[in-house]
Amino acid sequence: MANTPNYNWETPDDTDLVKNGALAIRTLADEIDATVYANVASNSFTKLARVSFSSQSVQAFESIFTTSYGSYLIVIENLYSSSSTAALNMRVKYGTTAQTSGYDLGNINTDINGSSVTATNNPNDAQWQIARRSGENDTYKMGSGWFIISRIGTGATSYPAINGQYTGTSGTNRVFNNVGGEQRTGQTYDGFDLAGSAGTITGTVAIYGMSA
Amino acid sequence: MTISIYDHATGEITTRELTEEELAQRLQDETNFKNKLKAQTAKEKARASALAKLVELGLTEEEIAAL
Repeated sequence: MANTPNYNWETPDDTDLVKNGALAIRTLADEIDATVYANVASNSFTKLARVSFSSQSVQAFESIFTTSYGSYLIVIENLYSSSSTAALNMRVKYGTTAQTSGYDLGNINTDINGSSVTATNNPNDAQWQIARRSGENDTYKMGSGWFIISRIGTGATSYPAINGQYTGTSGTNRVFNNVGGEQRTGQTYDGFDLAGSAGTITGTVAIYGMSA
Repeated sequence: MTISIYDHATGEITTRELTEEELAQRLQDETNFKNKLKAQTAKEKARASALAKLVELGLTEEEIAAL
């Protein structure tokens, strides 16, 4: 029996009977199918959801963190707040309950127009303040960014960590944020909330599972 | 005030009013943010004032940036 050089898939010999061709094709196809499936599952980003929302006090994502992935990429494609000074906050959830304490976060942000760099430490806070400005309803000023959440979706008590970047503008404050943080309260977290610190938020967010 | 919920288990999006508990948390969040913003604005104002005084003392922008 001849086999392919890389994945060792089984192929028929030149001398095999034509009447066995259907079985040979099926066997080969099954082996290819299993290999491709395993490779995709173990070596890729998987888009789990892409959600658009409008004028919400809170945007919740529930049952999104599962044992299927080691960490998650949250891409905020665009977002803005109805409040010009609003920051952007994130909270992790377990079931339908949002965790409201135990958030540690460091934020180094540059206000490009103000030519200033500010380092902010928020220990044991009520949420992760992931951006100092959410952004405005303007194609030039909308917020966008990405965050990776790890140590989550394990199906057991975990202490998630967050790392990421976000750019949001309001008025003359063009703020680029570089954040890193942890959650010091253990829970079986499976989701998160996004909210502006005031007003409502509008935007589009995509979540990707990253294989362990 | 409303919350939009995307449930990945069902793929459904539902929107509802905040519960009393959620609303209380939300109002608390807003108050905390206003206080933080006030403190931050005061700090930035003090920084701008300090920088202006350094300029008055004769420091160049390059020298101030090096501090």
